[in-house]
Amino acid sequence: MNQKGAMFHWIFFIVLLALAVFFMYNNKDVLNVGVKGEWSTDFLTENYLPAKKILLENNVLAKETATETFFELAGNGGFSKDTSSECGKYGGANLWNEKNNNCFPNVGDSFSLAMSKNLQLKSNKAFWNVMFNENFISGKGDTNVIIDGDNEYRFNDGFATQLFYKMEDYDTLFGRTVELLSKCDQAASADLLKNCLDTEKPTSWEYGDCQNPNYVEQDRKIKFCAISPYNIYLTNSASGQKELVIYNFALDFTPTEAISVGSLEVQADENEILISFNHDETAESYAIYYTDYLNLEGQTGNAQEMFNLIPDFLGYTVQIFGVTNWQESCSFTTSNQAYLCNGVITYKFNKVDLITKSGGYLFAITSLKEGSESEVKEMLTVS
Amino acid sequence: MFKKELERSDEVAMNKKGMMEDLFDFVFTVTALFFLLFFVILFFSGNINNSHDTSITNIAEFKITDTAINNLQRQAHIAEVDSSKIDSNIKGSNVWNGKIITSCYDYAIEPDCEQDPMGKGLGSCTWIGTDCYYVEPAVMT
Repeated sequence: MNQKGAMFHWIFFIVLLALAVFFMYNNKDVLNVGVKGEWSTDFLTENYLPAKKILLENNVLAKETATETFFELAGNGGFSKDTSSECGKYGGANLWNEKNNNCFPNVGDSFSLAMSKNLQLKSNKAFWNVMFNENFISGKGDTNVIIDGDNEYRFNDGFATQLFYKMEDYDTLFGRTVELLSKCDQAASADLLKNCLDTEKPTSWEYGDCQNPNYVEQDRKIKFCAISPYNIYLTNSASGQKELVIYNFALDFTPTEAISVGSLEVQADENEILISFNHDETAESYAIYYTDYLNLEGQTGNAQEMFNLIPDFLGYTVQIFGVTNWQESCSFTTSNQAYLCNGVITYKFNKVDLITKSGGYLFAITSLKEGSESEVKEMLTVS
Repeated sequence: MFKKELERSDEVAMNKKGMMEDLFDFVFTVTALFFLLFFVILFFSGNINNSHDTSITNIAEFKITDTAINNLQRQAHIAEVDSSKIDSNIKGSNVWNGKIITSCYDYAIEPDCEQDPMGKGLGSCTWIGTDCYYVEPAVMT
């Protein structure tokens, strides 16, 4: 009985020892109380947060790439570096016009195209519907999957972030370009063209490159650089510094129509009349109208319409000469001959050849180009 | 007669001893169970507390990372984020006055922005209007 009782007491210690051994050597995962919400937090940490980080990286990359793309477009006159203007290039810059043909870029399309391509190069991911609208860049991507063990998290890859830029910069530049072309393409000579541009071009524009401005004109084509009309600064991702957006482009100031002849001068003596006017480098030929019907004095406009009003008994004469039919000389010896002297054309009439019933002569000069005739800008009267 | 009384007294003594042994066994059993349960409960309660702490820690870590990403998203909207520093910015996020600070842009009030107690801008956190910005030292001068 005592032994049996003693055994009973020992059993307690044996059980304690067994429990101690069990707890010490057991697989902890069996007895440990699991962490509350462990699966949920694991899923969030291993699947959701990486997805969210990818979207953040997309936004950061998209913003950097969009900035580079805007610089690229501005440097190429609104065209991506892989495309060029249909009007061609001058001095490495895309032409925004060729004579009367406008070649303004569709900047929205250029941006989408260039941005998609640049993003793919940087991220090895394809994005579509890439656009910039109201200071917002956005693009869609494929469905992305984050896999961690048995867990999968699917999300729409893409980006949408703010970038402070104004596409209206281009609209402003296009508007100023049209205005400048309309003002200066009628300049008859290279000097007059430069004078016109010096006066009329916006102060934020420079000739050639903004770093080294230099006026170079060839075939009435001129390269410009223009500072952002809205003073937009973008962060250069390479330097980390904010830089002013500068646009490079070229314009063609070839006149679309014949240019009116101005600066007419006359010298007359008893025997001859010398009519002088500035040479228009774009003209193919000139027409000199003269009549003794002095009532037309002071009129301007279409030459043929004006001179057709002259009564038949008076009539008028037209002398047309091409730009190759003159003599380059400052000595005007022969009558009924055109001379080119220091950029000025002089036509010599012999009074004997002119018939007048009114005691005077009225002269008007027009230029002819590609089948069009300029308007009469001024008339000369010789009595 | 005497023998019967003697036997009865023996029985009484035996019963008392038995009862004492039963009582001792009862007390021993209760004491043993008490200690047994004490250790078992101690073991499990320790585990439960650890589990609770781990949960809180996990959620706090998630919240910091989640908020840090949100902070950087906001910064990416209003300014620039250096793509090469996204991970270090997230890992370096700290809690300041109950708010998670990832960069200058996360200080909510001007004194915090100017003092930059978390050292996010290294002296370049600047309060402009209603927000805190990181302004490049070169631009400030």
